[in-house]
Order: sequence, then structure tokens, then C-alpha cells
Amino acid sequence: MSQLRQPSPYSSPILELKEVGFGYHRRGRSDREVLRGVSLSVTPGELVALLGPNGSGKTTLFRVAVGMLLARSGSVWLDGRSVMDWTRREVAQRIAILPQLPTVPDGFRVEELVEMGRAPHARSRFGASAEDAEAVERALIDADAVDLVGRRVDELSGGERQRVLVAMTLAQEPRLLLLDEPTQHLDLAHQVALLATLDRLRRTRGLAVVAVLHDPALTALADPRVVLLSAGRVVADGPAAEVLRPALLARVFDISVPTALALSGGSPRGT
Amino acid sequence: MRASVATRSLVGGPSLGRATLAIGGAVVVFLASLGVAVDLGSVEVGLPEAIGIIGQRLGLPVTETWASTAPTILFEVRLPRVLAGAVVGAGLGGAGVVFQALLRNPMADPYVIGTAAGASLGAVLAITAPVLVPALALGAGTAWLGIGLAQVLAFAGGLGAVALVLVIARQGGRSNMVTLLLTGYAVSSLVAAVVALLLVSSGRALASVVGWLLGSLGGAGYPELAVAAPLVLGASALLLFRWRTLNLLLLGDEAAAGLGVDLVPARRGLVLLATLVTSAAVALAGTIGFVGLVVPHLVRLAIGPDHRLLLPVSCLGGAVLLVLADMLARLVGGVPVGVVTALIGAPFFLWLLHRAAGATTTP
Repeated sequence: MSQLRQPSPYSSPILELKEVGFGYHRRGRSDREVLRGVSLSVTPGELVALLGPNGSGKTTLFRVAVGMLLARSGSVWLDGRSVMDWTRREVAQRIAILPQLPTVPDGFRVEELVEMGRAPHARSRFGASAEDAEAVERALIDADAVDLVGRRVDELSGGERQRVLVAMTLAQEPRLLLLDEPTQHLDLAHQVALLATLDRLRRTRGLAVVAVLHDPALTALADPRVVLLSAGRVVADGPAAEVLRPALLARVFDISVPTALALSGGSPRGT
Repeated sequence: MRASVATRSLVGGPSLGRATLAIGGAVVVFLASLGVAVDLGSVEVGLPEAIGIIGQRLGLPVTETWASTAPTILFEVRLPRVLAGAVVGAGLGGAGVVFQALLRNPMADPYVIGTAAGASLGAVLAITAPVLVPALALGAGTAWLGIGLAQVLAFAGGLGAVALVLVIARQGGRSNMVTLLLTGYAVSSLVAAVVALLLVSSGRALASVVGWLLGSLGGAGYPELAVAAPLVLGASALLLFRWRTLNLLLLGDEAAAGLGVDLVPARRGLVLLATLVTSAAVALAGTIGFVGLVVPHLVRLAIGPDHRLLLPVSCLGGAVLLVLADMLARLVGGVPVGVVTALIGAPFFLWLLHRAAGATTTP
């Protein structure tokens, strides 16, 4: 469908990072470089898994991508324009970001929280449009959170809450989803279901997804493009089968090769 | 499953019925409290008489059934005081909601980032240093508006203290809400110390200063109302339009920014409006405690945290609480209204908290 409206939806990237460098300022000390010359381009319909050890710059990469943090060197392009040239609202209409440690305020009901995802599209001062209602419904269904409607978010389990938060980002109807550890708190069935949903939205709606994942075996299951980040650099970028090699994982994550082999599903993909 | 979803609307915010019920109910209670508070006092003016007097003033043919002093009591004594209570209460209730969302802190109240301390300093200066202050050439302006110097200086002091807090909080680099809260606390303590110093050194004016600090609606007349009411109500109305931003701020900075909130200007606007409301309210009635802290919580327990309803209902709730508390204060005879709000409101609030806690633990 989307191919019919847009002749070549996969040609122009929705997000493009060119040689991006970033470091947090700390007074009186030399800055630690968090991102060093990161180049990454994401096109509509792509599912990208971002893997890397703690502190390798994954979350920072997301913040730089949406313009919350200003790249020290290099440039960030969103939908063909420098990300700094868009307003926050315009960015939010294109990119939805699920933070790793979101605050879930007490007292809101599931559907109220999911509706907050519509904020960047809001046109009326006080109400919600029929379009908003449809988007929220679709998001609740896609995130498998329909059965949670009517419950208070502060009374949900961690996994249920995560599904609601995913629904909120889906309700935002972005062209690019940045998910920071979306599978956290989810049981195995819901982890697999979430990846299947993301894969379906990628195929049917041309949604681009970048998700921070930790489990190589689970990642391999979704067969995404895998970007491996280590100490602020992209050390590998390619199909899952190419990047998720035990030898490479062992080196980047500082574990033994047999352990890496076991963690990546047990079947050797070539070393 | 799909069908059952499609048949009921999942969004649209609070359903029309719920919103009407909450706001309509609050309006009815508000009007009723106005009616009662206007009638009761040391001299009673019955509700039918009160309506008759107002009707006559509006030029309707009404037969006089009341004492000749009744219209004067109603219009010159009762009404300005009740209206001031409504305006101040509405302002404090609304500003409390805004500061609690902005600072993401349930202990926040409208005074927390310096308004109360600054306003106190202004008022105390005006009361204790009547020779010094007119030299500041403010006397001419205040006489023109027909407003007391204490009110003008209190308003200026409230705004000034918050401006100081904002400037200091920004010096530390990235200003976040915790820095703002702590800076507000520190500046408030400092200013309060100066106020205490002035108090100690001014034996004569002590009683009137303490009366002001505890809060009173007795000093509010039409000239003061004519200035304070548009400020409070205008800024509150502008805040009502920002319910969506307030909701999003509860999600945390990162999520709010991700949903399109431009954090720095959004916060600046909210702080400015809520500070205007608070300073005008404090200038009118002194530092009345409790209303701005507790009314938002009471309303949240009753109708939930969605600012689309929470903000307007808290304004109405604050007005009701203060109007009724002031009525009681008058009936008891000269008790400061701030004492009444705390004496009655605190136990009621504790009872509600207890009930809410019970509701979540028992299945």
C-alpha cells in the first residue's frame, strides 16, 4: 500500500547520523567521549537492533538522534533536514522514543496514558479527535494491551506497564521508533510477540524501528539489521547472521567464546 | 476482541458525562458556598433577602423586606470579602496543582519557590518601615490605585523572590527541577530570616505583621479586588489551556520532550503564570497556608490526576474551601482564616488519605 503512494519509500533515510561525536560536560575534568564518529542511516521499513555493553553509548545515541542532546561534531539529519531545524513537536510527530527508565505517574488509567502519545498530533484545545481515538485503539491492539484498558497504570506489573508504554509510543504514530530496551520486564511470550509486532509494522506500514536489545538469541529470532556499539563506536553493522558471531560478541562484551556461542542460540554461525 | 474494542471509545479523555459531573458539581458547590457565606455573619442576611437586595441593585422591582443596614453589610462588608476568598482560594488551588506537576513533588505548594517569603518581606517592610518606604516613590502609584502599600510591596516581593530563585538556579549550569526546588527552599529560608529580624526589631507593628503572615481576607476591598482578581483569574485561565503539558511533564523530562514538549519555554511559562497567580493572591490576603498544598490532593483523590479536570476543579475547590473557612473564621470571631483552613482541612485530609490507602490495600 505504502509503496503505491510513495514510489520509492526505501530510498531516502528517515534518520541519518554523520560522523557524530558527543561527550558530557564535566567541570574541571576532561570530557569522556561517549560517541566517537558514529555514522548510521535508517530507512523506512527497517528494523535495527542496537547491541552493545553497558555504557557503550546506546541511550546517548538516541538522545542525540532526537535533538535532546546536541552533537559536538558531525551532523544529525531527520527526514532530510538537520534535526536542530525541527521544533520539538515536529520531531515528536516523526520519532517516538521509549526511554529506558520512564516515570509512570500514579492514578492514570491505561487508556489515558496511551492517549498522551497523541500529544504531538493534538489539534483541539481540550478534546481528542476521532483520529486520536482510532490511533489509540490500534496502538492498544498492536501492543497487546487491550485487556489492560480501564486499569490504573500504577497497579500494573512491570511487564504489563511496559506493554502500555509501548502502546503509548505506537499511538504517537511516528515514522521512526526508538526503543530503549523495550523487552525489559516482559516475559518470553511477550518479548517474542513484541518483536513480531515490530516486524509486522515495519512491513505493513513502513515503520522504521531502532531497538536496544540485549539478548543475541532473541535478536537473531527477529532477523533484523544489527548495529554493534562498543565504547562509542560502531564496530559492526549488518544482517544479524553476519554480526552476531560468537567471536565478535565475545570480544565486544568481554566474555568467553563458548559463552557467547551459548548465548547466541547455541548454533555456530561461523566464527 | 477486536469488536468489543471498536464498540466503546477508549479515548476522548474523561467522558463528557464525567467531565460535566466533576466540573458541574464543583460549580454548584461553589455557588452554594458563596450564597451561604454572604448570608452568615455577625448580622444575618437571609438568602432571599440577599437575592432581593442584589435584584434591587440591578433595578428590578423588589419590595424591601430587609433592614436598612442590610444592603450596606452585604455590598460593603460581606461581598468583597467573600469574593476575595473565592479569588484567592481559586488561585492557590490552581497554582498548587501547577507547582506539584512542574516540580513533580507532592509536597510542593504555591509558596515553595519563594513567593511567600518574598511577599512577606514586602509586606513587613511596608508595615514596619512606613517612613522609609514611601521614599521609594511607590506611594504615589499606590494612592492612585487606591491600594495599600503592603499589598503592592507583597506582590512585588513575591515576583522578585521567584526571579532571584530562577536566576540562582540557572547559575549551576543545566537547571533542573530539583535545583529549582532546593534553591527556592534556601532563598525562602534566607528571606524568612530577614523577615524575622525585622519583626524582632519592630515591637509596635508586631501584631499587624503576624496577622498578615497568618493570612486574612479582612483587608480586601473592591479596589484591591479590581487589580488582583483579573490577574489571578486571567493567569489561571491561561494555565487551564496548558493541561496537556502538565500531564506530559509527569512522565519525566525525557518522555515529555519525546512527546513534543519544549521543556525550557514550557516550564518558564508555567512558572511565570503560577507565580503571578500566587503573588497576586498573597498580596490580597497574606500567606494563607494549606489551601495550595492540600486542595490539589483532595481533588486528585476524588477525580484522578488528569489536569484537564484536575486544574479547573482544584480552582473551584480552593475557592470553596477558603470561602467557607473564612465564614467560620468570621463566625468564631477574629480567628485568622489560615488557622481555620488547617484546623478543619488537615483532619479531613488525613481521613481521606486513610480511606484511599485502605481502598488500595483491601481487595
